[in-house]
Amino acid sequence: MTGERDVVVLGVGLHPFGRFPDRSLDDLARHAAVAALDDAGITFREIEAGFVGRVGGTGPPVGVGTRIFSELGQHGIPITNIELACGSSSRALMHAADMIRAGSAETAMVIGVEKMERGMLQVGGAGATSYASVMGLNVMPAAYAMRAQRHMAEYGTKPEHFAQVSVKAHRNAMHNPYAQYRVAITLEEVLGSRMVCDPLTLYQCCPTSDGASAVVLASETWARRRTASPVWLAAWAGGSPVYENGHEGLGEGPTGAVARRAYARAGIGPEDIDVTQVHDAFTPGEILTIEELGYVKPGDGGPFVFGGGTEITGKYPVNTDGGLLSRGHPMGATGGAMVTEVVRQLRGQAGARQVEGARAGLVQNAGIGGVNVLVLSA
Amino acid sequence: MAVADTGRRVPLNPDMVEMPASAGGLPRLVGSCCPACGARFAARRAICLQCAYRGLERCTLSPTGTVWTFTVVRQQPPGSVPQVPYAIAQVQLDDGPIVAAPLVDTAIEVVRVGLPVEMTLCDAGRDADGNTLVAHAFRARQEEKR
Repeated sequence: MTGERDVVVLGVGLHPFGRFPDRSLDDLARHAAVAALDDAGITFREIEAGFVGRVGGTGPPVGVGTRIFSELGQHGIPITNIELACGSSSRALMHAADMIRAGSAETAMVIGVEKMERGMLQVGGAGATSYASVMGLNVMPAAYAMRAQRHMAEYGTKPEHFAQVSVKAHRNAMHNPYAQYRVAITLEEVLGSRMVCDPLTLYQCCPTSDGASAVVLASETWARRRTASPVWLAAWAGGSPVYENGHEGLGEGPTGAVARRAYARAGIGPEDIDVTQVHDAFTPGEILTIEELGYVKPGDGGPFVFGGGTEITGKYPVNTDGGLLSRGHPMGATGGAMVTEVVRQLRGQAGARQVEGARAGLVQNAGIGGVNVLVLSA
Repeated sequence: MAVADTGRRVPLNPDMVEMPASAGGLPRLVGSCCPACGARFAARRAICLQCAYRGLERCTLSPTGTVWTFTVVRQQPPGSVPQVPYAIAQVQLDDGPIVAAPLVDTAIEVVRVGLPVEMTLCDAGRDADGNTLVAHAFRARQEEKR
């Protein structure tokens, strides 16, 4: 199944997620990048292409990629900025992998980084005065809440099903030293927290965060000189909203169709996936996504999660590192952090959150305007 | 310095709302329709998503529909004219398109998927000339409001 142009994840690294008012965007990015280089056992001069996934937030808007990579060195490599909202760094990873598979580079590094403000995220940025924002429609949790309401009406999914996603996420994050919230929380506490957008309570919304992730990719040939047990980036696919059945696509795009493309390219099916990271910016993200990934039938996601099916010991362990809900969600950094967790799981380095014998993993990372699915294997 | 209220109602976004031509007329949602394949779209659009025809025509959309999904917003978003708690919905219009809108003049408790609704207007502030700005909204149809 492998060949000389197959892509290996050679190194991963994170800056802890949380609030770091004294550290700049560059500080966060440099920390994660150095960790990934050390994890790969290589120097920055060996990197042949650089990508930065970042949305915006505070700090410089233009040329941020070159500035961040200049923290590590300057040897003239092409550096590219990728913005796909909350899916920025996974999309950057896809293009870095495309370069390696095409033979344009033997190695590449993707840095995802973000510094965010407190409070409810505004689509279009703070101070946006679009028609939608004036009309009170520009509300991030409302997008997920409306998908949840539709799911409840169609399938009978219950508020406690969604709330259980947060309970599980918080429990997993207790074992993740990079997570923003490392504290357990009960179902009653989740349901009893302040209502934000029905049926979503506060503890079903991910925090805003500062943080960074970095991932080093290499061609199979190049990686073989550095590691005897590579983790493969086996397949990747991305998409954007689809106009179908007379309706304009809403939100992030066709996760199910994108996942089927990724499965086909990897030569596997959903039943082969041992560990999964999904985009749980809000709790419906887990329940709706495991249905779209084909882990359970449409409508079965709520009871499956409530019954423990996505626990570390469940049939399909999901968001073993706490997910966006508890690990945190510095938007540009999230895709790389998801890949980092899957790599650690496939290497058997996940400690108390280790999924026994994990051999194949999946990342689903979505942002306004697009969704990405990546399949990794040991 | 306050500008005197003109008493006039002006759409905040004329590409979304068309005011009635005469007193007693009803405001309408503005959309785009395709002369080639008949597809209809909420808001203004140049190229047809269905058949790629270039040059969609401005049209008005059905003023009635049903709630496809909804939520109740309970944390005040910055810049929003509606004040919490308020309901918002994706409304499936009777002629096809789905449009996002606030739900007004409707008790939050009665909002549900499938609720029949009709178009109305809500206030969206005032412009510099003293006109009242209005935007599209929906409310439960009269027979649903008992």
